[in-house]
Amino acid sequence: MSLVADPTAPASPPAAQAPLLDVRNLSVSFRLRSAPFAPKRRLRAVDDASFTIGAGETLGLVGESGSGKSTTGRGVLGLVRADSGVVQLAGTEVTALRGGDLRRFRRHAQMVFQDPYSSLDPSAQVGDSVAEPLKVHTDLRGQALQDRVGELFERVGLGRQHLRRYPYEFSGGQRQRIAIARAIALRPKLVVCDEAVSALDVSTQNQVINLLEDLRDADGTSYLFISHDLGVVRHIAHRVAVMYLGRLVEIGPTERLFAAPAHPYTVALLDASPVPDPVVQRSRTRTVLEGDLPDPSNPPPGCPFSTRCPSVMDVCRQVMPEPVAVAGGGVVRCHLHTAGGSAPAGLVPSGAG
Amino acid sequence: MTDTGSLEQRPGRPLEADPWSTFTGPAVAADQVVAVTSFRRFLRRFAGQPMAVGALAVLVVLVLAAIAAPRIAPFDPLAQDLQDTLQGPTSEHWLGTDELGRDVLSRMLFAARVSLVAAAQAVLLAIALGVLPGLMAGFLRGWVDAVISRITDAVMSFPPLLLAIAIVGVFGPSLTNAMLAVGVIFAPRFLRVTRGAVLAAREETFVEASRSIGTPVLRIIATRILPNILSPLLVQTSLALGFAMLAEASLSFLGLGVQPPDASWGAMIGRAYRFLAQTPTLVVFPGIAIAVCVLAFNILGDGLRDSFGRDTRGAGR
Repeated sequence: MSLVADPTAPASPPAAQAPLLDVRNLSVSFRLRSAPFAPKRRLRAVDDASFTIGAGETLGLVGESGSGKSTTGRGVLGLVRADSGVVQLAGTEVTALRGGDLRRFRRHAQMVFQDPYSSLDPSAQVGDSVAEPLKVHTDLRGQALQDRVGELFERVGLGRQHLRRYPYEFSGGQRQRIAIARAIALRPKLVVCDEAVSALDVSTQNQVINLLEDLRDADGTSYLFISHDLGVVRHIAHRVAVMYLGRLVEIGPTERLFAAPAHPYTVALLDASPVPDPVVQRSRTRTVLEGDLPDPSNPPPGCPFSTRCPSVMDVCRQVMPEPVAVAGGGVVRCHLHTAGGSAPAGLVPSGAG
Repeated sequence: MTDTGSLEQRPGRPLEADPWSTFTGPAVAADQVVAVTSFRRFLRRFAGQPMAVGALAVLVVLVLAAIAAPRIAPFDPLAQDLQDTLQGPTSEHWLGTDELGRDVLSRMLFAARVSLVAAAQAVLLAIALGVLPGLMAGFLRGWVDAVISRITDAVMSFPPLLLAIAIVGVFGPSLTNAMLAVGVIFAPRFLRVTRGAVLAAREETFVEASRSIGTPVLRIIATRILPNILSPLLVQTSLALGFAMLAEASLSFLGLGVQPPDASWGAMIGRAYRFLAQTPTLVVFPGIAIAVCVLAFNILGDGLRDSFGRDTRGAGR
């Protein structure tokens, strides 16, 4: 799995009516724990994120570590409370649900976690772990429950004889398939895959991704596919969203985004991924970012990327750019594409660059 | 590492060329039909530890002997024979006689009942007082944790023996009151062990997975948290039984525990040490009993920890 030009890239998603998932201006922040009585500081993990996912569509969410990808996924599922913004899944406003209502609603949206070694209870048989969502949300019990769990195991390429084993008896890829079986047990409309293949080796990644694609084709499941691996995202996602310091800086159809990235950060991200052809790789002129992510509890004013952007302009340091439509589909938040305040041409980098 | 001539990675090569991409079959090589239940796994690992098995055997024998004391004791433990006092081991009195001519072996068998029951009482009370608040403190955190933890600190800051003497002083000297005191003293240990284990368990991804499934909180605690904190609790229980036995011996030695004519091992030592010069065996035999019993509980605790612990690739055999 790498940045291979992929003839099997997913076909366009089904014609979009009302989107299955509609996220508008989602913001999530955490209170930072410091000494008692010290002034409280808040870390804005996700800031004003808006995106949609259609039925049967896969949205890839990429970005560096600490950019807020996972928090976005958890915010969508209501696992962390949103400060502001609205998350609607199939017409239900997730962000307005509380307590038992939110708990019952969870059957419609499930999650696959990064580390299959810790996402399954080591003291429980894997069959029990997969049965948990069925026990909580359905009336299936006894033999009927066992049969259903057995079917799920077979769907993910394991056998019924594995039901009564413990997680340590499985390899990483097998465990991740068990975690997927648990996530799809209730036929959820949306599955959030949080770095679901990042902990697996490459051949196992392929198995798991193919499994996810098969399930999508069979059930029409939508995925929010969080990953830092651009090759994987390019393969599985219909559209890709790029996140930087809690902000969605660009979103667009996979082909356009990889062929013609609009945001300088997307360009840098693509440049950072190696191309698996040594000739091409040597001849590339690459934009290499300097420095690290700024402190998310103290983000720079204006565009969050202004501290590292190679094309930074004066306006970038003061004003957060508004979303602008990109030719070829999608939206970008960058002053290179806006009227750009004091820099009308918009494409002229400042001398400091 | 990278072979520049590698054809496998050339752009344009379809992913289907990867032989694993079509892999769907079951991937576990050995398909044993026999399911290994958690209890069997525990037994298998426990059986691999001869020390722990030995300790368990010793304790089982002790408990059986205590239960059967009225049938197997060669003499009435209270029957005095003032012509035959302070003897060492003889063929008639295997472990000798005390200052009133009572048979030491018979008294020790009956004392075993007192000592074991007292230790069990104290530990059960400690579990009852400690585990639930520990669960609450660890799972709810916040101010609940703060309040519970400060109370724990306060109880732990008392010198244990002084606290016991104070409780016995208020309620009067009896074995039950002494064990009440020991239970109160041990409760904070259970609380802390529980709280720590819950704090660790609640951060596990599988707990978040249960939350994302929509499992109710009490069910998460019962099915995901409790099984994963069971092993430190069991270890703590075993160790506490040993300590409670020692505490009972200390209190009875001081005359604050079991009252005459009944005896526990500690009380027997307490009476016998005055005759140390004449008949040292009077102190030695109950002392050995206490030492063996405490040691057995400790070894059993270690063995339980090693065999009941969470299975990892390294530990699982």
